[in-house]
Amino acid sequence: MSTLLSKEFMRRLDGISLLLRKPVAGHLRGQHRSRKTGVGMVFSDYRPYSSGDDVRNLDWATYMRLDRLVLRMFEEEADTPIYILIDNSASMGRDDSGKFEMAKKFAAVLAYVGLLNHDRVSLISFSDGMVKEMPGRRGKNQMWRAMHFLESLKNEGETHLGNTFRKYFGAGRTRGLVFIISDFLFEQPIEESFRPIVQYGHEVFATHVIDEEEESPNIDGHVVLVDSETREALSAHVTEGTLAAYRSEFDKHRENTEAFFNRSGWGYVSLRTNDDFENSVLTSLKKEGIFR
Amino acid sequence: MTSVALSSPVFFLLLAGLIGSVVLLYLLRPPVLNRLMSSNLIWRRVLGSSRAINERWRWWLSLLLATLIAICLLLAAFRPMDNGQMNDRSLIIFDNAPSMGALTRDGMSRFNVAKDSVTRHLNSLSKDMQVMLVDTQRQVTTPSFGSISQALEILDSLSVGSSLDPLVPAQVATIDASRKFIYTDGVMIGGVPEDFTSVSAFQPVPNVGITRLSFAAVPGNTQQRQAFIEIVNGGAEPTVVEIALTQTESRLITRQVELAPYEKLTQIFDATAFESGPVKASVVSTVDRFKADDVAFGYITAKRQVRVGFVSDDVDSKMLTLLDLMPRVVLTSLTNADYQGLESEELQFDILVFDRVSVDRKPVIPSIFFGVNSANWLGASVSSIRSSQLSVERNTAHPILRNISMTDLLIESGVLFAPMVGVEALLTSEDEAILAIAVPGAVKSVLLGFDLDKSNLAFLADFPIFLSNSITWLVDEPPILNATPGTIKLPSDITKVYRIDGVDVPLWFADGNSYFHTRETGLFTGFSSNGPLRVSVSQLDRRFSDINRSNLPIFESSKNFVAPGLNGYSFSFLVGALTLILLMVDWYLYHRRVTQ
Repeated sequence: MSTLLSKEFMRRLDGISLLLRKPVAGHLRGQHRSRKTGVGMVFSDYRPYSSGDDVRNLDWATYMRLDRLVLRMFEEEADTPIYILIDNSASMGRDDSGKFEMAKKFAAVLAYVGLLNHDRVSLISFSDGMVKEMPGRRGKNQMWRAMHFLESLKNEGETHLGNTFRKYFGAGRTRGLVFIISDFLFEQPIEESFRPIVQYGHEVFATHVIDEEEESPNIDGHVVLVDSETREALSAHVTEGTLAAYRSEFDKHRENTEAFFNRSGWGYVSLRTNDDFENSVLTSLKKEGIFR
Repeated sequence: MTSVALSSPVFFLLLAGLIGSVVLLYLLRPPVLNRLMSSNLIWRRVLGSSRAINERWRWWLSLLLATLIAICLLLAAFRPMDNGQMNDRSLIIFDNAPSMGALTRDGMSRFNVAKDSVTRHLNSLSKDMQVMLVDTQRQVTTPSFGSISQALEILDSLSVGSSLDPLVPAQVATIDASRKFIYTDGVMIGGVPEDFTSVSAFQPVPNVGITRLSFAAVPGNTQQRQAFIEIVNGGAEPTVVEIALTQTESRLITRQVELAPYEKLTQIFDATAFESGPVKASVVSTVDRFKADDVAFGYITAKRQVRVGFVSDDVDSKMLTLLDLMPRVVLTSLTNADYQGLESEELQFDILVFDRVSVDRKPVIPSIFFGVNSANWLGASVSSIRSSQLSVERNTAHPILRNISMTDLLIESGVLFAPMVGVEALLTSEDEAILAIAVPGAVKSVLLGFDLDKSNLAFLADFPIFLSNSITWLVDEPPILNATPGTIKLPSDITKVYRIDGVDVPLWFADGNSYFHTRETGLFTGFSSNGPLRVSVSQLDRRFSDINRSNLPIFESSKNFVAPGLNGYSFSFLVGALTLILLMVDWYLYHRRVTQ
């Protein structure tokens, strides 16, 4: 079915459902708690009966005891809009480093699990703004469309999360779960970039894709470092000391990114291209409480 | 920069080499590897923080370098330190002492060897260097810093001097110069200060020279005369020399002697055959390499025999006997009548001695008068002595009374002379009455106001000496003046000086004396109203002949004599080289800045 996910792995995903930290605001029935009351299994509250209410929810025991009609209310189980934003900027696809491939696989996992759970899954690729979108789809039978979408993505452009969020979520999207899959290598301050999402109240889960070569580069001497996005050339004389400083700075960058998401109450996982993808995805997502 | 670059051809070569090296380095620089990165975000932070420190240091270093380069360029272009403060200047002391005239083994004199070296030295300097050339014989009267061409002109005008009192390096050591050199054989200059670079022109050579020459009569036999010659071997090898004394071709004395190394030898020659007049002494050696001290000049002043005409009417005169006994004197006795009958040209005498004879006319030849009654021809007034047995005071400064006491002279009667201008008083009484006078001039006279009969003069032991001194003063020339080449001081009355070959020598007057200058040895004659003065100019000094007493290293040959200036660099060159080095450093730093 797909080159991104193996059948065995998809089979392992079949029993997994998404777990949200907040009640969802979906419009259609689904498997997630919502703030709405209606048809559901989880008791929410009582209220006086008024004409036109569903008499099936009357609490007859109370009526017998108090001779008053009281209506039982239940939390309505709704679907969840899942927005999977995948960074397809040039930095993700440098020299087939594996970052973009891993990002697409991860997006495929999320889409698969979301569609299985009857959630509305939207796939959006972005760089400096939204590049391509698969509008929200429900149902397992939409999986082929999602896979096709992911496989068709190509790397290009610079990363600009703020622009992307403003353009995409500015169109009045239903509050839901936003997955950001990126290397988070961009100039803009991360707080600035995520301000639109904070404003619209989405729940965010960030996936930081890290290339091993990027984390610990193997270069020495005089080199011209060419930025894959901006084509900026940076001449450098790289020594052991410089590399150590780089590694330290990279760790700092990753830690700052993670700290930002933690501070915001959002989820964060980092995936390295040299990790075993399937195990690390399941392990990290279960650990973060996304998968159940 | 331009003035630096133009200052030296070597600078151009260096500049060309540097440009070539830079281009080559640039071409040889390995190509920089382009490395595609996901993002330069992290790299920019890393390099930014590491550069922040490096760039700050590099910025300051670059600023320092740029400042230094600017200073160097300013120094090279405008040379502000040339205005009498310091220091792109060379001081060269050139030794032209007499010893520099010695010939080296290859036939060149030390002087010429040093001169050639200084010429090469000057030509090797950068054209804008300031040079002061000072010679040890002070032939350059007002040395000052000037161009190299001026120094070459001064060098060309120098010659070997003759002074034994040369300028020594210490006298000019305080002159502010960046480099100081002295070209010398080290014989006469004394020590060399530490800040001087000495260039030796010294090479030991054989030399024999005359250091003393004099003539004297043999004591007890005035007919015989001797010459004394002192010679010295200034070389380190024994040598045989021939000493020659020459007056005319027929009057020649030679003698061959052998001298040990550095030996001084005195030789006495019988010069009886020589007449009064100039004498040349010389030493001849086949190996001698220094000719200036090989010849000396002397002058025999004393006549061997004096023809005396004794004019007296007293045939038994004690004076006659005394004069006849004097060995120098050839005596002829005359009466006053005989004398009066002779014409001037018939007086074949050197001296006339008048004893109690009145003479109405001035004698045409030097004369001695005893018992003068009147001296109208002299213009002197006389008066009789009133008191007998006068005590006498003598003029000890006069040559006639040299070595004479006259303490016991008693005069019974006579005349006194009135004081006169141009007449020298010989004997005076206690009350300053003049008893005897000497009249100088071309024809000299000695007049005594008393005679031998009216005084005890004839009985005094000093009387023969008095007579001898009087004859010497009247007929002999004064002692000759011995001098060394250079400026020679003469008495003020000398108005003309001639060389022995008759050439007139320029004379000048200052400080109440007469002066003339000569660099050559020889005989000179000065003339005054009092007669001739012989001047013998010779280098008779041991220091003059000691031409091998030097502590400087020996140079072997003028062909491999290397001037030190060839190893030196001008201030402009050094500043230019420093500028280039700084530019290279700056270029390197710049290169590092753009690649890191």
